[in-house]
Amino acid sequence: MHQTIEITVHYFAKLRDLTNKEKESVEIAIESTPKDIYKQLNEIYGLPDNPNLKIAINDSFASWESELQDKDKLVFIPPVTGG
Amino acid sequence: MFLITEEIILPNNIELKFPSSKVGAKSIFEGIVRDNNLGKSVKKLEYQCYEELAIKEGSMILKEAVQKYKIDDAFCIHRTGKLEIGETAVFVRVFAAHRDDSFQACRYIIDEVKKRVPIWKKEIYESGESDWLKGAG
Repeated sequence: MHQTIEITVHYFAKLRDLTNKEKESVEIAIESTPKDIYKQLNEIYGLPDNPNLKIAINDSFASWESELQDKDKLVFIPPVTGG
Repeated sequence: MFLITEEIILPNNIELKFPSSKVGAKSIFEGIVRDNNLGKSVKKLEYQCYEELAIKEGSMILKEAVQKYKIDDAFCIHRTGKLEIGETAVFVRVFAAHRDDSFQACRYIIDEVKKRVPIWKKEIYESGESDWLKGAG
């Protein structure tokens, strides 16, 4: 069996509406990246296919290719519309 | 200082006292909820915020403004939750010795906040429909 780790994914705006969740724990394979997780979540929730999203890991901007660690907090950030 | 609040922003209650006798200019920008957008009648707005990162990024923008322009102090507060027409969504205040730096820094702060701070706006229309606004990306 592949080794897994657990992360928490937080959702905002359109993504919160699509998932109907503020956050959830997700079990993922080690060495997974946000790109892998998005693909995995897309299969469950039908998220936008070509998302113009930024990534934050543990409240700092990060890359789609970052390797996720156990207990990480992952956020997919839609284009912002404050002000 | 950059703050996020669910409470109504009352500009008159925000500290407006000059921080020092060297200050000769104060600029304020206030973003207010209006009743229409792109031809649709807006009933109210809802702002959602990724608060931890918003405070980090907002504080960074204020720091940049202090480094970029000759200003003494910069402050910004952004509202979240459901807002009625006419309520203040965002408030920016800058103190400087001179008007040019004061105006420019105020403009820089609101422009960068709108581009970078993770806050999202949902418009709730008179028709009963609602929609998250699409950002510039």
